[in-house]
Amino acid sequence: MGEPAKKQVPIVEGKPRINEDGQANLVGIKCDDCGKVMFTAASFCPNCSGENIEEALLSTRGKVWTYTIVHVSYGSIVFEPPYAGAFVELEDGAFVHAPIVGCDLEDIEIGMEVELEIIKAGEDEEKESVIFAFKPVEASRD
Amino acid sequence: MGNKVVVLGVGLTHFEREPSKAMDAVAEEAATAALKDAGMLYKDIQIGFVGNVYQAGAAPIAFYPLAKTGIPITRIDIACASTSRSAQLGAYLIEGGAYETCLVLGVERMPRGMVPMPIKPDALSLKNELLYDGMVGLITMPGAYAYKAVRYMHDYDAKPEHFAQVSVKNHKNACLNPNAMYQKEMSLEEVMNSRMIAYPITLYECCANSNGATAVVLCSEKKAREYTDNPVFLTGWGEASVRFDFEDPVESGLSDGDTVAAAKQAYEKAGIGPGDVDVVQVHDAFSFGEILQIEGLGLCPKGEAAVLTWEGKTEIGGRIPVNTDGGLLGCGHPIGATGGRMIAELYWQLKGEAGARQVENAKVGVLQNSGLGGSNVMILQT
Repeated sequence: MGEPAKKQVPIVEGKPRINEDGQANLVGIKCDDCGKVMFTAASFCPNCSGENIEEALLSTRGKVWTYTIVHVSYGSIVFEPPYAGAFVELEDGAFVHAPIVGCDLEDIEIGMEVELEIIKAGEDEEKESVIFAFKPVEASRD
Repeated sequence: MGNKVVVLGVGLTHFEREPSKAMDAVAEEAATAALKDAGMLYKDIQIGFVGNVYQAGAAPIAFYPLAKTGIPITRIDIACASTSRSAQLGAYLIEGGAYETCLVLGVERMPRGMVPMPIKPDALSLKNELLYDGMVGLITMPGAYAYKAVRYMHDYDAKPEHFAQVSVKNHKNACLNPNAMYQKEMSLEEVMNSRMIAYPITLYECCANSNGATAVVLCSEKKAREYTDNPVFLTGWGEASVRFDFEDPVESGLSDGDTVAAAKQAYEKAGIGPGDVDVVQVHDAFSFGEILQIEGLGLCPKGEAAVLTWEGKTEIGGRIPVNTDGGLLGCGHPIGATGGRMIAELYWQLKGEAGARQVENAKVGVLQNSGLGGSNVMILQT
């Protein structure tokens, strides 16, 4: 056995939240008034302005709703261009803006099934800082 | 119903890649041209707005020496749509009777290169979606349009060359406009083969940063009658913001929900519909923007603007001419001043003073200007 895995700490809490057992979920809101599930940290519902919102752990799977291949950017803490960004429509209806990893850029298409993936953004002696991305569902079965 | 609002005069400087004059000098050049066009003197203006993004303190100072008359001056910044919003605020004041005359100045000095997103990590909450997405590298302006373009291609079977054609047309129109930064036609191949920025948007489908100034004199109809027998009226305007945007692209919409909302207000106010429009200015910061905004203004059914463009129907002489002066792609984009250029082009078209790019018998013009802070739609009529 090698070194014990370092604790994974997201650079922003909730993006994603990682349990003790390693299960990762994005944290969004569910509005009790209009029922909408959204990936946002708003303190009120952006859809209906309702204040009866509760924290919601979002689905870890969804489909690519749209995407682009970024060739010129302001810089990323993780990626070098070209890389892919997408809006993913999760199974619970929330939309998430995220990188797509784990496949050739030319294989990305609208409707592609994807699942949550954790990406290392940096590390120090105790912990690994991470961000979230999505990868094709097939790629996870390797 | 309040006072009717008139566009009494306009002034533009040549838009330049590198500024050849100081900011207050181009501001004065544009303002003086607009006042001369209106037949007014500086003392005739009662209130001023400055649309500007890059020079928070300097913009009002650039304006102030021009006025020296003690009038209130306010700088408006909603990024790329600053001057159109300034004009709309001025129009509300004239309509309501608070003022009779207003000078709307747009002025910008900006460096080359991709416009930075207004993300200040030390000022924003880490919860903020834009900040996180920016750190990860997902936020760019061309990228924001590219997402919509890719979905549009999927939904409506459009091709990247349909979007590239917008840039071909607008560079062609710019050759007929002495104020435009670019005076060179560009072939479809050149546009398509230029460097990829954010798929499917290439370099020559991105507007260029620019330097320059625009000025518009607004006044009440009563005041205008002292100066002209043939006023150009600002008959309708509307403004709205994108709703969820990055949280929910469907809601913000491929139809660009903010433009749809702003257009509805503007058409209702003017008492006309999209079918009455003769000439159009839209925000083509990136080629696909023109496609999106043509549909947002209701000028054709959703999904048809790409083909409309491809078939040449948005060219001068086509069924619905769009961006006759070259738009942002051909003229360059001095961010804070762009809305004033759009107003000026419609004004000249309706006056029959658009020279080689004149649309025959233009009576109704509509413009759409996007910024971080919303979409503005304005309707001008003779």
